[in-house]
Amino acid sequence: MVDVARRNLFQEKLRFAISSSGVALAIMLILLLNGFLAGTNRQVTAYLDNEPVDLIVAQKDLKNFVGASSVVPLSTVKKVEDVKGVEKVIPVFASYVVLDIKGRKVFTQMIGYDRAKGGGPWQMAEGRSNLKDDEVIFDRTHAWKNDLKLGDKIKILGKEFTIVGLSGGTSTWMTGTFFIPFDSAAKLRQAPGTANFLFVSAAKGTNIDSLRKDIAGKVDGLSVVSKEQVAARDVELFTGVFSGPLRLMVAISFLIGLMLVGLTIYTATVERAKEYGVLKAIGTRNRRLYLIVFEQALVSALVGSILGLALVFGAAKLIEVVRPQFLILVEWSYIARVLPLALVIGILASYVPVRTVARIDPAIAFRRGA
Amino acid sequence: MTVSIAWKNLFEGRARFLMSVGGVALAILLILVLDGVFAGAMKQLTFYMDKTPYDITLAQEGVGNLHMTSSFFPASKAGAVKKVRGVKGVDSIFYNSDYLVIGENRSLAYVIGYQPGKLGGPWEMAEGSADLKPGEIIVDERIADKYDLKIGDRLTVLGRSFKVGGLAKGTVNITNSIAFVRYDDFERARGLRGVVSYSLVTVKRGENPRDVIGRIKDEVKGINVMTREEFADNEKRLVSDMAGDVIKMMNLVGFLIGLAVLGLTAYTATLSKVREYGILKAIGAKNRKLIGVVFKQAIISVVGGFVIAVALAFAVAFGLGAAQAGVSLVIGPPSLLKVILGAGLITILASSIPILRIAGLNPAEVFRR
Repeated sequence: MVDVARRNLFQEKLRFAISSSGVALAIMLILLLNGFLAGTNRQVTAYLDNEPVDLIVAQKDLKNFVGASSVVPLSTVKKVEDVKGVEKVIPVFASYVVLDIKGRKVFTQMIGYDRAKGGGPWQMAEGRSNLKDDEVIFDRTHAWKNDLKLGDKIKILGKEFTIVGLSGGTSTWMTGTFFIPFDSAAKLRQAPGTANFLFVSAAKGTNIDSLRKDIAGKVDGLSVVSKEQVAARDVELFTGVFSGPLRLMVAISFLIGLMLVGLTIYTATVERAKEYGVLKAIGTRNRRLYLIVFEQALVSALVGSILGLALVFGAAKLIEVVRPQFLILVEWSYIARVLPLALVIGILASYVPVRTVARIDPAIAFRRGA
Repeated sequence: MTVSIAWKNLFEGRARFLMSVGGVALAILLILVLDGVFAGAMKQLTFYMDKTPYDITLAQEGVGNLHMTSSFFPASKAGAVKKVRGVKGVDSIFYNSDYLVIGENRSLAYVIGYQPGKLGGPWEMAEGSADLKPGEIIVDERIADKYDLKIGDRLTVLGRSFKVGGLAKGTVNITNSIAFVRYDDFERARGLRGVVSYSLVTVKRGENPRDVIGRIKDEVKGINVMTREEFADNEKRLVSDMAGDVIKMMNLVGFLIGLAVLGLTAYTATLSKVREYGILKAIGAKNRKLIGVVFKQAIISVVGGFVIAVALAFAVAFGLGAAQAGVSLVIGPPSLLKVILGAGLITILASSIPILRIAGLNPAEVFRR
């Protein structure tokens, strides 16, 4: 039986290639567009994800990092350091600024980080990361987009800085990030003795929630929030209303993609209806007929899905090379949900036409087949 | 003659025809809907400018839009513009981008300070009145719905607590919503004196706004003067440069995949009838006629699929509007033209591949095969 199904399937290689390609395009559509959405969400939290931080101390009632305006007195650093279970406290300046780059207004995230403790770029693409007071590390993609290179000078809030390093993975589809020394940021912001946030990392084995409560007890008038909570709220805030169109596009692509899988397998089965009629006419039982058809549908859908996966990863890589500000995150958990669904749709789509053949009397099928 | 053969051939295998029309319809629907989402998102960006009935915008020198900008210029300049020939009225507003703090939640908003009864306020109310009392705020009905806000509830913005006095319609765009407070409340909250953010100028009947702009520029220096349309275009360009990039890219990916599906569908449809075309060739049909038949079949399938897809796309747009989903779908002539050209071209190309192979054969050889 398996032999019949495969022989029939591979006998017309072109037809098989077409149906597999149809499935592949549909799978590519579903996974690639979802990859954009997942990537945009991941980019929002890239900074927090890559910094050694478990808890964030911020201004009272503040639970966001991105786009938030927070003031924390630097005197708090010592208080937090003294709490048992705290390994490190890093003061950070983080805010959005509009830079004037070659006559264009460019919206960018400024990070002022502690050169000794951390909070700076986690991946250098070019140049160096040990900064002097008037030096800056610019995001590589953002620099490329704005025609900036190592050695260029740039005015940040009225003061001139030299680009000495280019960081990787520090831009989102909307903005880029640049890093300057903490003290330089404090001067630019005219806020000596303060930071925007304190990043707290816990000692190994420390219970984070207990530590959060302990720190909150020591720092009156400030918020102490877990990194995960802040990241989740950043995604919600940043992609909040904006995510509406993206989610709609992903949902529409998902539905149309599945319909395309169904239509492709349906068409492929209908085109073989005559051959199934012959099988029926020579006495093949319905159970066997169904199994042959389902196996063919499954093989087409499976081969199409594998081809689709290859196309998705290839296209994602290509887009990231051509337009590096985009991150396309093809998640295995999503693949694990989409592929079985596509296979089920494929089997259902093949059931509809073969049901008609199965219902026919073998003698009539013989006449029709002839 | 060719038309007749094309029709007969197409409808003979009705199921096959319906499947290829279905494939074309799905691909076109995909392109139209993704394009519509982008167009809808971009249109939402300029609702404030589009819906407020004025002609000319005054802003701080060097400021040309609203998004992530602050604009302040002396109120005396707005007063001077009032005296320029051709100007009918000048209504000023305050503007700031800020978070609406609703309990534990924060929602980004353009906060507009307007004078009730004058230009610059909400253009459509879902509930309550646009005639705000001191200390009141108007938020979008969708924001109210999302955060369970009702008229009379309180929220914090501009560092002050405001009571919700009304719910506006259609002010949410892809990046934020618009909230409205009284002009004097805004002025007090921000400690402003003698300045305005933007002024909305109307011109007298029969006056050309461009002529009036020329006179304003001559008589009042130190402000940016632009038409309402230029102001809207600047806004669209800035936000589109930033947030629109990802939608544009997703749209492009959808478009290319849609075209590929169209091509595959047309190729398969022609291939499935390759035997019939071979017979036509064998009985002496000329290549020109053969190609004409194939193209006509392809065009019939595309037109059929296009009509179905457009109907479905409008149904989706209507459904989204009725459901107040927060996302609008705009299917305009540019999208339709793009689809018609793309679909027509790819379908003709894809259906040419199998038929050109047949056209290249000798009739006798076709017959033998």
